[in-house]
Amino acid sequence: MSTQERKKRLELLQGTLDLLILRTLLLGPAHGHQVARAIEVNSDDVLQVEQGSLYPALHRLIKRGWISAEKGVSENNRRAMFYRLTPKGRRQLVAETGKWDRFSQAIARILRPARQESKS
Amino acid sequence: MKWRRKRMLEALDEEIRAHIEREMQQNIERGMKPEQARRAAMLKFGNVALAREDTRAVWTILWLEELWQDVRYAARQLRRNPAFAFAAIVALAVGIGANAANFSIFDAIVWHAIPVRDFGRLVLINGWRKKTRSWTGVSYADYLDWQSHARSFEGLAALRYRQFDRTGEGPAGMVAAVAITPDFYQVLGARPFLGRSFSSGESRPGRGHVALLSYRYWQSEFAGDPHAVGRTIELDHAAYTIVGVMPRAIEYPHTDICVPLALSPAERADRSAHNLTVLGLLKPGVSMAQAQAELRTLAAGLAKSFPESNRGLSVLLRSLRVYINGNLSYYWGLMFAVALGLVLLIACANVTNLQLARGTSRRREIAVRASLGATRRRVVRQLMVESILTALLGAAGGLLLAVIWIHLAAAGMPRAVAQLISGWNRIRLSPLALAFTMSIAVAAGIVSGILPALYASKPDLIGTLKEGGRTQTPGRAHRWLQGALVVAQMAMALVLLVGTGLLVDGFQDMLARQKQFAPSSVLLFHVALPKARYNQSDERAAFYEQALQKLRAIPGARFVSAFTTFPMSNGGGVGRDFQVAGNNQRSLKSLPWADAQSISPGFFAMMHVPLVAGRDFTSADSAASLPVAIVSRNLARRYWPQGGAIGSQIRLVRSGKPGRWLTVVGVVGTVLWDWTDQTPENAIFRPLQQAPPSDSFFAIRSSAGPISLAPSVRQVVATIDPDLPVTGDMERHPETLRQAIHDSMGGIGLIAGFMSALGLIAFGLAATGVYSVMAYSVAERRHEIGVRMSLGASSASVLGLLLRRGARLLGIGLALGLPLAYGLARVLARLIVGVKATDPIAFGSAAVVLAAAALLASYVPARQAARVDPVQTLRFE
Repeated sequence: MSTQERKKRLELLQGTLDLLILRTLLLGPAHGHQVARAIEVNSDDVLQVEQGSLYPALHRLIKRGWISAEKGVSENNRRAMFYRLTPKGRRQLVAETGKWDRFSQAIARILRPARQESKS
Repeated sequence: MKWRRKRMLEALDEEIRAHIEREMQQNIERGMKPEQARRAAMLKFGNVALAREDTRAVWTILWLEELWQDVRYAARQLRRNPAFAFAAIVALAVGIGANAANFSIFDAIVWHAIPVRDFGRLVLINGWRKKTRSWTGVSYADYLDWQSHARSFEGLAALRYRQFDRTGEGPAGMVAAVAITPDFYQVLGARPFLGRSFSSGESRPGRGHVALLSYRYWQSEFAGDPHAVGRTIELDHAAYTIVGVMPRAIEYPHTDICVPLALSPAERADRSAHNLTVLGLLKPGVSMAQAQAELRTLAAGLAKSFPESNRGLSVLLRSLRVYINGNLSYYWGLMFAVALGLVLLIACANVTNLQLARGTSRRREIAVRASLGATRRRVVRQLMVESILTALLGAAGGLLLAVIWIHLAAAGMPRAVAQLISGWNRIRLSPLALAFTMSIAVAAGIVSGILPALYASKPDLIGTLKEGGRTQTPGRAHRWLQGALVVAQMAMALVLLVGTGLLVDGFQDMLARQKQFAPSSVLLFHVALPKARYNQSDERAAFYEQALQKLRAIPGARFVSAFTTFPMSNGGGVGRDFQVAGNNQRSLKSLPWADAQSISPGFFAMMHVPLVAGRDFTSADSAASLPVAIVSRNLARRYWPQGGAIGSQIRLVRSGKPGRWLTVVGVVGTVLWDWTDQTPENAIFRPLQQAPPSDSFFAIRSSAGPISLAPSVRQVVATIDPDLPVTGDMERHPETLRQAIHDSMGGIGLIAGFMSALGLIAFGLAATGVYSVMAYSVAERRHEIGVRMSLGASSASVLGLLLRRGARLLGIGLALGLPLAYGLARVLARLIVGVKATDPIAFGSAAVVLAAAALLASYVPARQAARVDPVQTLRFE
C-alpha cells in the first residue's frame, strides 16, 4: 500500500503538466500552440513550459482517454489538431485538483511549521 | 489500437512544424525580425527530435501496458466463468490438438521423409522414351555430359540398383544393393553414421570392393557391432571391406548395402546401357520445370549427335519427395488437412456460440465500461484478447492431446507398413509443429471471437443501461447469426460423418472381400532362390517341383500352392507388356500392360478364385509341354468381348523383346491385389514350371491350426536345400495369410480409425453446438413462453414452436452439407477401392444420426420450457 501511495505522489509531481493541460482544455478545445501559450499567460509566465515536452504529455492524455484529438481548421484557416477534454478527463481533473490541493497544503505545512499547531 | 497510434503519430510532424511557425508568427508580431523570431521559437520548443521520440514512446509503452491489462482482465473473466471457460477450452483443445497431431505426421512423412537439409531441392532424373511414354535408365556417358553442361544443379550423382548373393561367412541370402558414384551422399546431403563414404579412387574398376551398410542391415546382420567398420562381407564370392554405416533415418535409397559404381572405360563410354538413375540437387531458386527444360535441350542435342543410342530419348524429372512416399500420402495428407480444418471450424463455431450467448449477459458490463470512456475499439480489443487467450489455453490442452494422438498413430500402424513409410518412425511434435499450433490457436481465437466481440460492443449504451439488463431480448441479427452458425456446423459435421461412414464402409468391404480367401487357415511363407545356384530355369523348376511335392506330404496340409503374390498384398506381380495375337497391335512399343504372375496348379482353388472358363493348370503343364496361360476376366472381356479367349494366343513382351506365344487355357475371376487401385489390373498367369521365378510365396491350407505346420515346413525346405533362407523370422513369427493381408490393410484400418475419431469429435461438437443454441434460445424466450401459456397455449404447441426452429436449422444444414459431402465422397472413391461416391448407407446414416442428435438437442430444452409453470415464469421476470 505504502509503495503504491508513494508512486501516486510521484506521479502527481510528474503529472503537473498533465494537470495544467487538462485545466487549460476545460475552457474549450485548443491546438498545441494555444495550450502552451495559455499555460504561460495564465501563470503570468512563471511556468515556462518547454513547448516540446507538451506533445508527449498530450499523447499520454489521449491514450488514457482524458482528452481526445480531432482534425480541424485553425483561426487562420490552417489545418490543425484540436484537443478536447473528455468527460473522463473532466472527472480526472476534479479528482486531481483535489489531490493537488491536499498535496500543496501538506507541503505548505511542512515548509512553514511555525503556523502548525503543535500537539505533541 | 495500432491503427489509432499510427494515425496519431502521422499528424505529429506536421503539428510540430505548425506549432513552431505559430510561435514564430507571434514573435514577429511582437516586433522580432524573421530570423530572430525563428531562432527564439526553436529555442522555446526545445529539442524537436526528442519531443518526437518521447511522444512515440508514450504510445509504445502504453500499448504494451494496455495489452498486459487486457490479458489480466481476460484471465479474471475466464476464472469468473469457469463453466464457459471449460467448455470453450475443451472444444478448442480437441480441434487444435487433432490439427497439431496431423501436422506432425504430415511433416514427418511428406515434408521431411528423409531428414536431409535440402530435401525439397532433390530430384530424381530418368530417361524418358517419348514414343512409348515410358521411363528408362540413363547411360553413364549421358550422365557425364549432363554433369559437365547442366547449369541447374549444384550436384549430380548416379546410382544403379543391383542384387548380390551373400556368400561365405554369415547367413546366406539375397542382398539388395545400390552402386553409387562417390559424390552420391554429398549430393544427398548426408554423412555416414559410422566410418566414411566412398572416395573417388574406389570408383575405378577392381578397386571398388568396399561397402556401406544401411543402418537396418547393420542392426540385423551385424547386431549393431560398433567395430563392424573394417570387417568384410562376401558378396557373389568377392570380399568387400565395410567402410561405413549410414544413419538410421536416411531411408533412401531403400537398400541393404551400397557399393561404389566402378565401371570400366568401355562401360563408361557406352551410351546404350540405360541402367542408371540420377540424383540431382537443384540450385536454390531453380524450379523443376526449368531444370527439366535444360536437360531436355541437352538430351535433344545428344539425340542428334548419337542417333544410334539416343534417338527419341528425353528426360523425366521427379521430386524425391513424391518418389519416396508417393503421391498417395500427399493426397491423404490433404484430405486429412481438410477434414481437420472442418473439425477446427466446428469447434470455433461452438465457442462463437458460447460467446454470443455470454455476450448478451455481458452487455451491461460492456456498457458500463463504455460509459466510463472506453472506446468501442478498446472494448473489441479486450474481448479479442480474451478470446485469443481462451484459444491459447485450448492449444495447451491440444498439445497434450496431440502427443497422445501421435503415440496412438505410431503404435497403431503395423510394423510391416510403418517400415515402408519413410519417416513414420520419426513422427514427433517438432518446433515447426509447435509454431503451427500457436498460429492456428491465434487464428481460432480471432475467428471464434470477432463476431461476438463486434456484436457485444455495438454502441447501444443507453438502451442497455436503461433496461438494466432485465429483458435481454437480442436483436434479429443475433438470432440470425446463431442460426447461421448452427447451420454451418451441421453442414460441416455432415461432411465429416459421411467421410467417416465411407471409410469405415470401405474397410468393412475390404474385410469382407478378404474373407473369400478364408485366409486364417493358410500358412504363408516366402522363399528366395540365390541366383548363384539357381541361375537356370530348370534348376528353379526342379526346386519348386520337389518343394510342392514334399509340402503336400506334410500331414494336415490340404492345399499347397506357390505364387508370385497374394491377393490384397498391395504388392503386385511383375508388370509386363503383352500382345494379343491377331489384335492388330503392330508396334511393340505401345503395348498394353498386365500383371504377370507364376503360379502352381491349385492356386485358384486355394484362394477361392472362381474359374470362369477353361481349365486350371495341371502338373502336365511342364517345361516340355505347350506353353499356356490363364487370364483374368477383365482382360478377357477387353480383348475377346464376344468370348473365345480359350485357345487364343497371347505373349509377354519384355524390354521390347517378345517371348513365346502362349495359348490361353483358362479365364478366372478378377482378383484385387491392391486396395488403392480402383480398377483391378489385367492379370496373366503362367504355370510355375514354365516360368519359374527367382522367389515365390508358398501357402499351405490346413484346417487344424496352420501355424502348427511351421516346423515341418522348415524341415522340408531344409531337406531340399539346407542353405536356403525362408522368410527371415518364420521360426519366431510364422504368419497366416490373414495376418499378412491385415498388415497390408493396416494402413486403411488406421486411416478409417482416425477418420472415425474425427467424425465422432465433429459429431459431438456439432451436437453440443445445437444444444447450447437451443437451450439459450429457449431461456431467452422464457418470458414469451410464459405469456403464451398463460393465454392458453398448450404445452404441445409451445414444444412445437420451439422444435420448429431446430428443425429448420437442421434442414438448411443438411441441404448445404450434402453436396459438399458428395464432393468429398468422390475424392475418397478415387483413393480407395470399395468406396462408392454414391453409397446410400453412408449418406443416409450420417444424415439420420445428425438429424436425430440435433432434434434431441432441441427437444430437451424445449420440453423443459413447455413444462414450466407460466405463473412462475412471469413472476421470475
